[in-house]
Amino acid sequence: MQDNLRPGETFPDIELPGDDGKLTKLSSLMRGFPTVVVFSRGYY
Amino acid sequence: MANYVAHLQPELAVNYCQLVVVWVDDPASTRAARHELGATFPFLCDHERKLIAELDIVDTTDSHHSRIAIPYTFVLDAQRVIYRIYNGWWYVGRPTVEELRMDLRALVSRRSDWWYDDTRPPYAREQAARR
Repeated sequence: MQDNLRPGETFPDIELPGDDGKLTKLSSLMRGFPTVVVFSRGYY
Repeated sequence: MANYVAHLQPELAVNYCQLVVVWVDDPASTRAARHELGATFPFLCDHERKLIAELDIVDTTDSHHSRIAIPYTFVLDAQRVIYRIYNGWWYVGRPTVEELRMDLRALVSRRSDWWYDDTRPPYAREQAARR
């Protein structure tokens, strides 16, 4: 894991396609509120 | 994930907080998976696996799947500062709904409008003064 991914550091404003195919920034989804980011391996 | 859909999603609908899933399939497959789960929170698609490589969270121990993510969960405050990290490589390391609820409560309670001024009890004023 990147060294700067630790509590107290700023998480990158990642930009990826949504499931509609449109590029989406994390910050635009957060709308100024706390957010949980889950890196998923699938259904389990 | 199904647990979050069943038990956390209804709260997210009213508590302003957000849950974002990073999935490693293309948008069409991700959309199908999200609909099958019944999830209304957003999914982002790292189908080229560039992000998980950049963040250096690729699981190299799984020989059955190609370059999937170590299932980390990051809890972020409103400014994207990392509050807590859960390493879910072991299933038991993944956060429960209750743990996420407590994390989100702690973060939302930092807001200045958590207490209405005329209802803030003395202990809350002391806590605010210490921050």
